[in-house]
Amino acid sequence: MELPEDVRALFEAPNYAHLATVRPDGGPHTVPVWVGIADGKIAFLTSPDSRKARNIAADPRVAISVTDRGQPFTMAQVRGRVATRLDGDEAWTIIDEISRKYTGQPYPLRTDRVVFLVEADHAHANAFG
Amino acid sequence: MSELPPELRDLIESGPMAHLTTINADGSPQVSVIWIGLDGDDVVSGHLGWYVKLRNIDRDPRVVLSFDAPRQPGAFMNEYAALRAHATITPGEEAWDLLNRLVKVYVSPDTEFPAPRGPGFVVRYSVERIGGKGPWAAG
Repeated sequence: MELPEDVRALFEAPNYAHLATVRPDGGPHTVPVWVGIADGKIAFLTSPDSRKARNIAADPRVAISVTDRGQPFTMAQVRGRVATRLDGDEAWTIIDEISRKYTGQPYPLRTDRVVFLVEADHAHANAFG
Repeated sequence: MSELPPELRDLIESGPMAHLTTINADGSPQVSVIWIGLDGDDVVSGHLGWYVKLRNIDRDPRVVLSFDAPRQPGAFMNEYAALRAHATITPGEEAWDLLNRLVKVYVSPDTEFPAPRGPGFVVRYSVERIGGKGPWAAG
């Protein structure tokens, strides 16, 4: 599905998102990640050897939760699956874009990172208060 | 796990937006944002409806609570906590009392919880592993 505009805006802003995957034993794993939008999809970067990358290799289903850094009661939740893994120049272009958003600088590493794009099945934003 | 580190207790009591991850019936992950507080060395949350996250916990009590520490200017990766926990649900009106306590942390000290007092569910999280980045995280 296409991301609703209010959901997309929360992922385009320099907010931290929390990415949930499923461990080999079926239990949950969650870590904060930098996120962006690429090709209309939620993008995040990771080492290909990280716990989350290994979880995704076994089961691509993910859930992502984000709150606005300035207005924490403005939030979005997305469920879907990792549909695309990008390597090489295509990945580094997106990684640098995401890094600039959070730090103002390109990403400091040039090895050991890949980009995953998430195909959303459910996405909604909420604002309380 | 017996005692939570004081820095983690302080972070929890400061009122972070907590991402609660549970496992859906089909085995996929689900995340929602909740308010949390402390009761002894357990983390607790209050809910007034039998939501998906509670149905998930009822089926599989393995959860993660993850939340960010306040932003640190210039930090490459911000501090955060990721707590693996075993969750248990208790029905009762204490859920509203807990929400009325937490609203004073998350909204303002003189706010009353806006929903009428009524039955709900308290979720108690027994922390099994503390992860993340910060003084509370091993390694």
